[in-house]
Amino acid sequence: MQHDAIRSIEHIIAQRRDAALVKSALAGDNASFAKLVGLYKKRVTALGMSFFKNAADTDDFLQEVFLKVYQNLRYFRGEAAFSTWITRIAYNTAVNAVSRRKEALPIANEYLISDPDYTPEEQEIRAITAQTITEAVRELPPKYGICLELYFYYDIPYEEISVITGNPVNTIKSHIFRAKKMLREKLERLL
Amino acid sequence: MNTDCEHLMDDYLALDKNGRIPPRLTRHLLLCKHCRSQVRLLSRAEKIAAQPLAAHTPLSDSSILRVMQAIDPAWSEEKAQPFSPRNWIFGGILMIVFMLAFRLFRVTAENDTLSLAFYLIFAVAVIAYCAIFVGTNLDFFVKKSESLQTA
Repeated sequence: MQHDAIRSIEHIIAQRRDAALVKSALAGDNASFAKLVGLYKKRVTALGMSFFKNAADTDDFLQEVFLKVYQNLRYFRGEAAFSTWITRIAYNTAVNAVSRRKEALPIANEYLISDPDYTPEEQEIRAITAQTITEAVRELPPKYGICLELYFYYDIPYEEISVITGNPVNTIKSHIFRAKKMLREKLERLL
Repeated sequence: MNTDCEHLMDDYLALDKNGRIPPRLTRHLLLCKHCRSQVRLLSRAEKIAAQPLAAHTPLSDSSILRVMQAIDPAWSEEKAQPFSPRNWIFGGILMIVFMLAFRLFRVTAENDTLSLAFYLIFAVAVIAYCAIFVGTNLDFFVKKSESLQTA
């Protein structure tokens, strides 16, 4: 509960920070845009890797996405979070690039494993979470796998996932609910 | 875990990101240790899962440089790090001058309460100055420490 409150505050701060950076980027400050690139590079790269599964294509994808973002920045009205807006651009770019394969493959493990110093308990929670999400994604029709990943790894709420992927909110909700239930059962071992 | 717990946990699982926990569930969590632990773990799991992609990339990263050079051919890494100590030095000197001026003023004024209030204000100002200095230039310090470590 305390975690949830902190996360809400973090989201609000992030949205305000992004809005300020967008505003100053629109005023011609490219350093602000570079900061936005730094903030969202990892998630765009992860999304690219999910679709292309190779570094070279992902690198081109990264460039293409951020160029699109830069060119369309003036159309960002702030109705949705900037993170949602950029993810939608990245998702549509990836889907268009691989039009013959409209589904994403599971997120590459290197994005989930490589990271800071976690306590043994956190490492176990992380491993269980990643394993559960992978299993849940495997059980779903391919086009819904990305919804689970957007929720858990990209930290995006239901409505915004629906906007990004074009899937109905209730369907997304029920798939994520099932994944959370699986996760709860597996985490119970830690209690 | 009884059926009541099960129903209430389903309500929790149905919540969206940053969703408000219903009062009925809050009450239950206060009384049921098992559900409370589950909620805590699930909440941590979601937070931990989202951490890797939420991490920021330093502006010195080569792919950021490539993106920025595609947008602005004259872009260089230094442009992203406009760290200028001039304003900070000026601000620091100004703060010291104020403190010294107050010290001189205090010799003529004998009000202890006023002195205490000013010293407290100065202490807060020094702490705020240091915190804002480090906070706003965090990228610079991280980059410097990384370059020192690799050297």
